[in-house]
Amino acid sequence: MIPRQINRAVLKQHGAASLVGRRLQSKKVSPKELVMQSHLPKIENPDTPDKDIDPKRRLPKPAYEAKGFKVPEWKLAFGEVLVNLFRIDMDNVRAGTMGGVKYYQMCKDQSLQFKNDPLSETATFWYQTLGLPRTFGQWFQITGLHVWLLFVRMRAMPFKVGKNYQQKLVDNFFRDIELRLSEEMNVLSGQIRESYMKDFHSQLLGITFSYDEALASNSDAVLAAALWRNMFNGDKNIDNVKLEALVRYVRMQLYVLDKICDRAFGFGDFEFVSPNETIDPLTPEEEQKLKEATHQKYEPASGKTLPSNRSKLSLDE
Amino acid sequence: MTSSLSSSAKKIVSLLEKYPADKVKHYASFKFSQIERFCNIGSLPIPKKVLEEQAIEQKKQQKMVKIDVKKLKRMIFAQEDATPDFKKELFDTDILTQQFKSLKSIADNKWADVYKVDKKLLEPKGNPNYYSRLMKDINNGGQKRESIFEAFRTVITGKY
Repeated sequence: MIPRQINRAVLKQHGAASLVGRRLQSKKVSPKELVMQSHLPKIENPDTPDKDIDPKRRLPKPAYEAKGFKVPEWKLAFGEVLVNLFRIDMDNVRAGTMGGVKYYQMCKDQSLQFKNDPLSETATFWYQTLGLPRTFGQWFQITGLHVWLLFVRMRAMPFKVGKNYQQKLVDNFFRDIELRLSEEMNVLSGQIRESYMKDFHSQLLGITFSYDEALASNSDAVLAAALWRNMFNGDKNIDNVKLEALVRYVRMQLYVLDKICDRAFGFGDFEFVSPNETIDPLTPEEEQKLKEATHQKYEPASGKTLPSNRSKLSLDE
Repeated sequence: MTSSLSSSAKKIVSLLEKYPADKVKHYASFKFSQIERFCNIGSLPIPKKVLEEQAIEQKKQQKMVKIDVKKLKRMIFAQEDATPDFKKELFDTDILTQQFKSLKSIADNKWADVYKVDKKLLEPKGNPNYYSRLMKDINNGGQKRESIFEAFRTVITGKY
């Protein structure tokens, strides 16, 4: 269950008016709108030219990424029988399907773009609203930020499970980078590809380190500096309104990740808050409602759960 | 007009001075580059305190990294612009006030306070010492080596 959706549902039930009084004034402004308010025109950074490569070939989209993809019923039933018969540890399996595949797809799709193709809703925010260069390196940085956000949550899962999720996510990330380099960026030499991969690896370490420092020191200024170095390529002529919007975006995601319980996160029910949306901090009553709804979803009162939905992950934290 | 511009730029610079300096050296510092930029826009001299701080940091950097990148750059690229172009003509008081507001809310930890994060993320269940150990290392400047036993513990348990 996604807190944001619950929040919306709660707002609808209670009537938004009763909750408006407690809202902060600026909260109705989403990160995207915040950037729109800035009057400073875009200043080009000569160090990072906007050179987009037209891919020779495109990676085919896997079937499961298509909209409305459904596994046939007989396959599902067969799977349930197998899981039940061999008592398969589903938390282990889910690390691959949710942590590796679904969550990576969410990170990657945030900013995936091709030359001459219309941008997706989130990509519009990154490339047009924030004015970041449409390059492969920038795509890596944006994906890296989202991967880090998931890392933060995965660390708070039980050690064995969390580590597994993290491992699968990183594996998928680098496999995808390698495929994209060879197929789309047309880097045919394996040696050069390898050196790029090593470079991306050390960049991911840097991303994780600098954002972790910001989170641990609980300071927006440190986070802003880290975002400035990584996302904005250390641009001296940066529009600080954009920086604040991005700080806000990251804090919003962290808040949702904090409120979601292990079980819901492990089942792949987390969703990044879109840059043109806002969320309000939950009140204690709303948090209670969220907990009840989560319990109802994952451990219904009837007590019947499918073998594949069994899990040892906590429902409360 | 110019006086109001420089006064709002001055406000921004004095705010930026309160920003924390980077604990670990990076290729660029947000604080110093922005101070330099807004001093240039408001045609102000860079505050002495900042220059001193910057000099100390540069010395530290030279100790850590043996190669002088700037010197190398100068050798390879003969003409290098001494001062970057800050597009001074684009700025007016309205824009500077906006920039000030944003920098102010970053300095005031506004969004960290609105979207408060619990212990759950800061002391993660699976790796409770992760952030405290990271901060300890950062505060030591990342120069201190851990003992062999601690290193073994990290390798065997996989916990940082």
